[in-house]
Amino acid sequence: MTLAPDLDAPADTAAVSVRGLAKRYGPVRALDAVDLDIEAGSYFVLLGPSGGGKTTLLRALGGFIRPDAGTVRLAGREVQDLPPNRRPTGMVFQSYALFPHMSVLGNVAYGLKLRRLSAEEARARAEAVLARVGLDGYGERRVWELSGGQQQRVQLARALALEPRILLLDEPLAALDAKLRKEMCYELKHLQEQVGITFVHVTHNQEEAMTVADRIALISDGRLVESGAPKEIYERPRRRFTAEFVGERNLFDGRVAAVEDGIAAIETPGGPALAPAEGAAPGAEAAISVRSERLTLSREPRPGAALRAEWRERVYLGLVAQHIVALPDGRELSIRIAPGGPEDAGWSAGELCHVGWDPADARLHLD
Amino acid sequence: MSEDYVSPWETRLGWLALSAVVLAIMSPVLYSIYISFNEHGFGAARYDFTTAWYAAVFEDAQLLSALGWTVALALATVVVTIPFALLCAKLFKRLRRKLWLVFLILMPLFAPADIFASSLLVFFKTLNGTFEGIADATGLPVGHFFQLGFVTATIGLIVYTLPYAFVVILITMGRYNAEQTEAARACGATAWQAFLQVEFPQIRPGVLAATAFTVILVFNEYVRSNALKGGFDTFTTVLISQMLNIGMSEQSYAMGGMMSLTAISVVAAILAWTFARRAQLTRRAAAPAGN
Repeated sequence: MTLAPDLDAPADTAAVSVRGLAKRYGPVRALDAVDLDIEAGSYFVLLGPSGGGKTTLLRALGGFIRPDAGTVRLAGREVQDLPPNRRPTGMVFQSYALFPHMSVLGNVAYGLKLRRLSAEEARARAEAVLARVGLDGYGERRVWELSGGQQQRVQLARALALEPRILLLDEPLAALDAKLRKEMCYELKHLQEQVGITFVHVTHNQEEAMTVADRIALISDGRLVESGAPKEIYERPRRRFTAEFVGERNLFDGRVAAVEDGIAAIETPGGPALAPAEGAAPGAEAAISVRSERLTLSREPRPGAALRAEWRERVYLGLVAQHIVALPDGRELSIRIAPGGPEDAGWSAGELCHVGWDPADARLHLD
Repeated sequence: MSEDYVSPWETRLGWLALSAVVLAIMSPVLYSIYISFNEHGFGAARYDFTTAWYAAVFEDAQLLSALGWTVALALATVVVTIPFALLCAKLFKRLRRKLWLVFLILMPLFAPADIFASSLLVFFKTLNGTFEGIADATGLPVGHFFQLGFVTATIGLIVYTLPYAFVVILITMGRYNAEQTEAARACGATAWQAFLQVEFPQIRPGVLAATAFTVILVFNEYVRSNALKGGFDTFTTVLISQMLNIGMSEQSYAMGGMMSLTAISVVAAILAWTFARRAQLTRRAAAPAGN
């Protein structure tokens, strides 16, 4: 038996389907005609900068914000006019939002009691879910006795106990320290795989998004910029914003100077930057982006794209060393290479260097 | 800034000064309580302890009637003021432009008591005339609605106590995390269930404090009660009228003592409860917790 309301929709329906969703706060456009589909049973991440609209979108899914326009379908049913308690969603909050006047068990069993389960059944279910999140035996504790990670687990248990079709997670790991955040990322991913329901997770942290997501959607300025699998988003971003926001990419803005054999060139002060043309014509306004780990650094020019630059500094980051070089116009590029190699050592500030890459590793953005 | 370099004597002197100020403020009250237990009354050379003056208060039918009316006024005021203050505080948390609400609710505090009382008196007299006219013209039984009496006194006291209750409840509500209400809604609670089961238990101390404060204010109020009460007396109006007409009797001191002791006891009880609760929370928070 499942406990979430309104669950008569077929299982293969998209868990979330949003069309033309819009919300304004005075002059601020928090959501601007957002269209989004989320496959049932997937782990979906809404990623973007603070104030971009991702939490507004999540809260609109949960029923905490009434959109100005558009439709929200959850598990096949239109719900934009329904309050949160009548939607097939659970919610996990950044601030934990646990009820301090109740025990851990009281928190987890709260929704079950509202569903009119008997005290024994509610207790049994709550204890089972607590065990699933690794808090077996914590039921009688007060919530303020728990650490941040444990409180977050209680919150998860409270939401999962109701067996929602969709679990909404609003920056669930933001209040945890880096180590615990990483551990919880894996736990969330495994938990989602075990329970099989749709998770919609909001974060501004790329690493967190990459760790947990089956698919990622980038949200900025109230708009859905791009969505795709994590690898797609990281390695082959379609939009300039994605290239700039996810990971560390070097960007070259300008006009396409020439297209030859499917490779477009944008002139930079250090020479031409090359990338697959993707249908761009000469004269088009565009940007080329290349991941910093795809760049090479050398004293002599290499075949393929190569720019002249001036070496500035090296920063040791553990797994990689970051080299900062400057083009003749002063624009800085970042190159990440394995520490200890011949390209990593022996540089002095002001020295002439060459930055290269395989054009196939670069992306051309026409937006 | 850290307090590490503050001299302990500075702190001690601060407490000493504060105690001296409180003692100076409270000494007349404490002195009148002291007199109220003297068999020979004010100014007597001898002091023999007695509770006879307090017993006399409870044997006086007029005083008992005044006490009854005061309790009734306090109850009626609490029944309206506290829910209304709670609603205003909730509205305050929800509103974006909060300043107007605060201004409107706190405005009665800035009008002098006698001006406010006389304004209400004129207002109710006019309203009463209007309603009597309506009753005469239509035959409807509304002529007595705004005659000076229990209703008008209660309205006056509600207007008076609402700002205080609002502020006390708002302070407690300020510590409440509204996401808990959203969490309850996400668990399937209606708005009313979320308020009753999640929010109210956490703001209850503030609501209780506001209730106690409202009762004390009603018991202590003279100007508005006297102007709007009509034909009955309250404890304070009897006390003041005795003082003005026949001077302070030993019975008056006992009445004053009762009111002061009640007010001090209520405040002390709230403080003791708050400190005990804080100590309990601190102990629980300090309990060992795993990761």
